[in-house]
Formats: sequence, C-alpha cells, structure tokens
Amino acid sequence: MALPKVGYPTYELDLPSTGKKIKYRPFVVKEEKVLLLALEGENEDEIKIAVKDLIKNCVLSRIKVDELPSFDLEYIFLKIRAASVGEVVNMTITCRDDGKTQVEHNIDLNQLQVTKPEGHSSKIMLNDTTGMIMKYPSMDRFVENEFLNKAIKTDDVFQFIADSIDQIFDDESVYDSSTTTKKEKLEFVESLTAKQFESIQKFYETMPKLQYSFTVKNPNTGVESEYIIEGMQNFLA
Amino acid sequence: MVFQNSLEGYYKTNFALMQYHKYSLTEIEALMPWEREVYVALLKQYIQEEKQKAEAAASQ
Repeated sequence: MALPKVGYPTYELDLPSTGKKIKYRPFVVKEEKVLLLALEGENEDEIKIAVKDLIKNCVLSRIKVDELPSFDLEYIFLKIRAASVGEVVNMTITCRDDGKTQVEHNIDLNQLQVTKPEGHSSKIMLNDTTGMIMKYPSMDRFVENEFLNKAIKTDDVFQFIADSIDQIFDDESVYDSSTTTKKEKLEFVESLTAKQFESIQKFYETMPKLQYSFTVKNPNTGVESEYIIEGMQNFLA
Repeated sequence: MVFQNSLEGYYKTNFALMQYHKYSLTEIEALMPWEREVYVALLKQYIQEEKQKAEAAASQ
C-alpha cells in the first residue's frame, strides 16, 4: 500500500468484481514520465513494472493489486487516468456507411462501467461431479494485452488455462495450488475434451468487460452507425 | 494514446515552462497532468493578451 501524498485529492471507486470501495489519487507528471519512458522503450518488462508501480502508487487502499482481475485493473486505471489527465477522451470516428467521413466523438470516462453478462460464472462443470473454479487473468496478462499488444500463441493456450485454474473439484475432494502442481494442472487441461473446452472458452468470452456503446450520425449521409468499444486500449487509442 | 503527451511533447512542454516561464522541474513534476495543461493554457492566454497590448501600443 502506497503512503498518501499530501496535497493531492483522493477519490473513491467501487471495485466491479467485489463492490469493495477503494481510495485512489491521481498520478503526477513525474509518474506520467516513468510510463511514457517505458512505453517509448518498448521493453516488455519495463512496461509491466511501470504500469504495476503506477497503479500500486495511486491506489491508497489495502488491496493486492497483483491478484485483481484484469477488468478491475482496467477500470481502476481509467479512473486514475480520468482524475489525472481528464475525464473526456476525444475520439475521431470513421463513419461505417461510407468508410471515409470522420466525426469527432467525446467519451466521458466517468460513464464507463464494467458489464457483467448474464449467466457468467467462474464455476465450470465438466461433468456431473467434476468441475473447476477459474481465476480471471492476472495483472501481467492485463499489461500484455493492453500495452504490449501481445497475442496469445496457440502453444500458450494450455499453459494460460492451467494458470487460470483456481480449484479443481469432484464429488470427494477439492484440489488447489497447495495440493496440485502446475504440471498436474497442465496435464488435466490437456486431457479435456473439445466440448469441455467450449465451456472454458465460454468463461473467457462472457467475462465481465469494460464496454461502451454509442451511435454516430454521418453528417453527409444522415446514416447512424452503432459502435462498441471494449478494453482500455480501445478507449485510449 | 494512454496519455495526452508523447515523450517528445512532454520534454518540450517542460523545457518551455522552465526556460521561458521560470518554473522549476521539481514544481512541474509535482503537478497533476491536467494542472500542467491548465497552466500552459493560462500562459498562452497571458502571452496573447500581452501581444495584443503591445500591438495596440505600437499602433498608437
């Protein structure tokens, strides 16, 4: 937990995953520089460290930032950004109907909310008795997706899913990281059927996400088009 | 962009504030980014007003 900085305003937000209130402060020019330097260098480790440090420094409440799901981190980061740089992000939208007319559109970051699709659950039943409790992607994954544009390779998918398993259970026992090795989890994932994989895919597809939809009217043709943007990178692109 | 500034813009703005307007780097780095934008906007407004005054005085 970062020490409070005297002379800066503090704000509160509700964590989308738990509803818990956390306090945060805006970042200052010096902290902006650290992230700008890291982004300019394009070094993966430096960017991860810079983003982690920025969030850890600005969150004043006692929470484990490393363990938060990515949508919580996206939400926190956008809130910190809104308090530090400004609440309005100006975007230039290319109208879909003619593909060339450009329209300015302002997004108020305070209006952004994390949407939770109905029926989404972190508990995945693989058959009548056996199932898994999944964890949401970690902070490292969040940084890779949002700042490094790093796509997941096919070979990494099994590894990624194995890392995301919190618990495996059957009608007799619960297996978590204290009783199961990473290798065992990986072997378990590799033994799943295509149908069982679909359930896992559904978990990721219906994960809560930061989403904003809006319509833009083409001033030349009068045609309205709907746009949906998701994830922090899209908001700030 | 995650931030309004690029790294180049960041250094240019800070340099101009230090070189022409007597800010110290410590003061600038302790500001919030939106605060620095406010000061830059106010400075622009001040320079514009001074320019107009000078032009008015020169034309008389």
